[in-house]
Amino acid sequence: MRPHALPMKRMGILVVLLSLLLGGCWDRLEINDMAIVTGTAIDKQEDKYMVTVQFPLPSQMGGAGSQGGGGGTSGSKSWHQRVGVATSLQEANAQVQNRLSRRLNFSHRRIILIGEQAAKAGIDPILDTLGRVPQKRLSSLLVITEGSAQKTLGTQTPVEQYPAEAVRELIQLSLRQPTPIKTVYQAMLTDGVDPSAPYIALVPLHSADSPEETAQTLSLEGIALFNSRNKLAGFVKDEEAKGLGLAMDMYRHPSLTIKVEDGEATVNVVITNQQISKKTRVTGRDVTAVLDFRLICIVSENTSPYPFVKDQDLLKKLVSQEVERLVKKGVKQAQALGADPIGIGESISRDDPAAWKRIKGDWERIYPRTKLIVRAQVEIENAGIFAKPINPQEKEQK
Amino acid sequence: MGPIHPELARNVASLKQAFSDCSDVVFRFLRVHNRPAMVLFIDGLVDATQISEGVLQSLLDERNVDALISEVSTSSLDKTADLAEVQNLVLTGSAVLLCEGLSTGYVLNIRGGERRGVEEPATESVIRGPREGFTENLRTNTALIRFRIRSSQLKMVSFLIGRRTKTPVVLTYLEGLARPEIIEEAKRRLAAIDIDGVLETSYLEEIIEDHPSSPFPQFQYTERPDTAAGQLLEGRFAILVDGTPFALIAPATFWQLMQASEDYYERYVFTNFLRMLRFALMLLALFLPSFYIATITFHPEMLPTSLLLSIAAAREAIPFPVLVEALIMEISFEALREAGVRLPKTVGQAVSILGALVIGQAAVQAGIVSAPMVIVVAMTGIASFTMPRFNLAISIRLLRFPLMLLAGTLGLVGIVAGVYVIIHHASRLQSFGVPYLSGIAPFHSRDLKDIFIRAPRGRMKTRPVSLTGETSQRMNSETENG
Repeated sequence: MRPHALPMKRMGILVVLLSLLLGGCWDRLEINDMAIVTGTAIDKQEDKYMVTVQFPLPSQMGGAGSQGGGGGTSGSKSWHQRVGVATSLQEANAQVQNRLSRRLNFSHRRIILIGEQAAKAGIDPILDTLGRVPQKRLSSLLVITEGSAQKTLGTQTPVEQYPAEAVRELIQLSLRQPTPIKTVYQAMLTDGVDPSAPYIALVPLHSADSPEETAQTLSLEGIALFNSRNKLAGFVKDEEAKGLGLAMDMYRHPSLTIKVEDGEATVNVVITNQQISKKTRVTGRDVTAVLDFRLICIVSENTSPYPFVKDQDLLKKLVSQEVERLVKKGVKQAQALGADPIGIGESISRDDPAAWKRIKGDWERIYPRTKLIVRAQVEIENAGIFAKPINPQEKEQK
Repeated sequence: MGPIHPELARNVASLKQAFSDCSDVVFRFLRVHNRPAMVLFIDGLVDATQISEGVLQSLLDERNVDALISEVSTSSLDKTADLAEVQNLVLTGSAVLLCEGLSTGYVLNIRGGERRGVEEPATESVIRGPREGFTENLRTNTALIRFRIRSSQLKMVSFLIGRRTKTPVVLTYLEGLARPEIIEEAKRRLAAIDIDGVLETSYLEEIIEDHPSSPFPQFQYTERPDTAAGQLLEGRFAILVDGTPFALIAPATFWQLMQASEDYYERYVFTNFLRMLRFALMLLALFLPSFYIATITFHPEMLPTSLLLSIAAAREAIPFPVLVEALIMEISFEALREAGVRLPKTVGQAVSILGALVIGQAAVQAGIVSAPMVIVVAMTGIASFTMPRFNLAISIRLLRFPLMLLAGTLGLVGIVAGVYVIIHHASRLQSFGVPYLSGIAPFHSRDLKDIFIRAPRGRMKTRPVSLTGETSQRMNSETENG
């Protein structure tokens, strides 16, 4: 008998026994039996949740060998949506599953849309459900929609294969820090910072062949702010969103359009790099937050008569002023909504834990009165290749 | 049969009886010194020109046999007194002269006949390197090795194996380089063989290897004398068998079977690139189908969404589970390869066209297999063709199937279990007392220079630790440049 014969046999038995212990891992599922969920929209109607799941239809996606298949009632769309309505999210999902011939697979869902109503009612129960099942990944992006999330998720997006992908790409493209749900959990669990998420809305789509505004498209409008009870406090858009976004270091390459000397002339700068340091001071019950920006900009447009290539002091000053104005405007609105997305409270708890302990209980009343000091140090990295503006009336800077 | 009788007729009678119904055995009667004589040989085994011109012509010149014999231009001449030996000698291709009144037979060593010449090896071609390959003739093969290693330390121990075939077998090694206990063991195993016949080296391989039921080959075989010489210089031994152009080389390690002969002829930088590629492709050939099966059926979350969706789209119309699909494709691929090897070259083209259709577009369009599976099978096939040693490639091909079944039932857990079993098995294997994975397990840092990489020749100063026992110098330090 060869020396290794017995151990091999023993090991064979061991492998068989060990694999019996892995009964829970028996999750074989053919792709053909799966509905790969790419996005979920969660809405609330009175006391019931309406959950919409979106999944692509592989037979409609034009893969090889699929020419003969398909032929469902879904028309030419390559994706499909199913809706479940129930008092709990899990129940609504189960309802969708019960009426679907394929197993829902959530492991590829990277977009979760929450409608305005559901967000206002509070995102605690939603995030609880999302966090419990391992198949639902924590890197899914959370997006709040203005109005109905279902309608937003169902928007036709000819550019991408399915709308959920369009939402994801839109968010990924514009935001330096999108909000995966793990970030939201962090904000919910950390003292002194309130959750926030990008919000999207449907806007009219102006297209050349249909002048009347029938089609709608997705647009990243701004930031949805939550209060300390994790309920939607409100939306911030336009200049306020830009300012708040700067303070939160949220956007990828924010651009600022700055008016020069009261007139029509503007300079457009793009911020390519920014660093923020946050400091807080507590005196009694008065809180002052200092935001120090270090910005690197490039000049992308210049209709002013100043050639900024030679002398940049004026431009630096203008950018600095603009940043200060925008940030103050944005944070002021957040304060008015009672939401602290920047985490000023958290800053206090770090800078001065004793003071934070003292004012923590009353933070909701103290926060809106927080004074804000914004300072911006600006570097111009590239003023353009034109030494002079293409404008005959060149002026010397004052 | 007894000794040779002075009376020729009696010898002829007993030999005729022994060779009855052997139409290729030639009894040539003639008169030498007015005495009846006979030359006995097998037509086809002896050199026809030497027989007719050298032997028969001289014999017919009626002179003294002894003087005549010295004139015969044969390479060697022996005498024998035993009829049984005469019979054996004739069977191995000698001609024997028997004379009336003499109880001695003269053995004319004029082996010849039609033999293939030294040609370029068909199975191991190289771009740079010698073009000579072994032939079916044992003496040619030993000479090809001796030609490369001109040393009296190159030993060639002869064996005659096979009760019926009486095949000459030569065990060759370099004395002082090969570990004596390994050589003794090889001699012992060869001597113990009692078998009807040996037609190819694989007869011996299966009998003397340590673990015949293992999927891993424990011998390297080669058609190249330079490869054989190289292995002898590392302290291995080679077994040459008459009638086959393949030499067996042992003790073999897994890493040795991953080396190609050309690795030592090309620039080492390029060789290292190829070696790494080869190891990567070996893993691919072993795991790609099972990994595909496991990911698709158990762990779809591991794939990028867009990739999963295109696979899903391609698989939508496929009626089989991935495991079945993979088995269909892999088995038909193996079948095609087998058909391609067995068929004559003229029909072989038809097989490749059919193969391209079956494993290609048609199967996909018919909705029987999906396009991604075709890619997986094709990649696996190409990867398995890069294995430098065919016998290792076969084991990799074979091990792929249990891994696929494991992947189809237990997913990645199954693959890991399979890998565990394979590594466990391989690390227990031995070839003539040398661990199969030696260099890595047991670990010898000195041997790393020729496992995953091939170090520049200036750095390859020592022979493999596992073969020589201690580190021994192969190269003088001063040879190195710089």
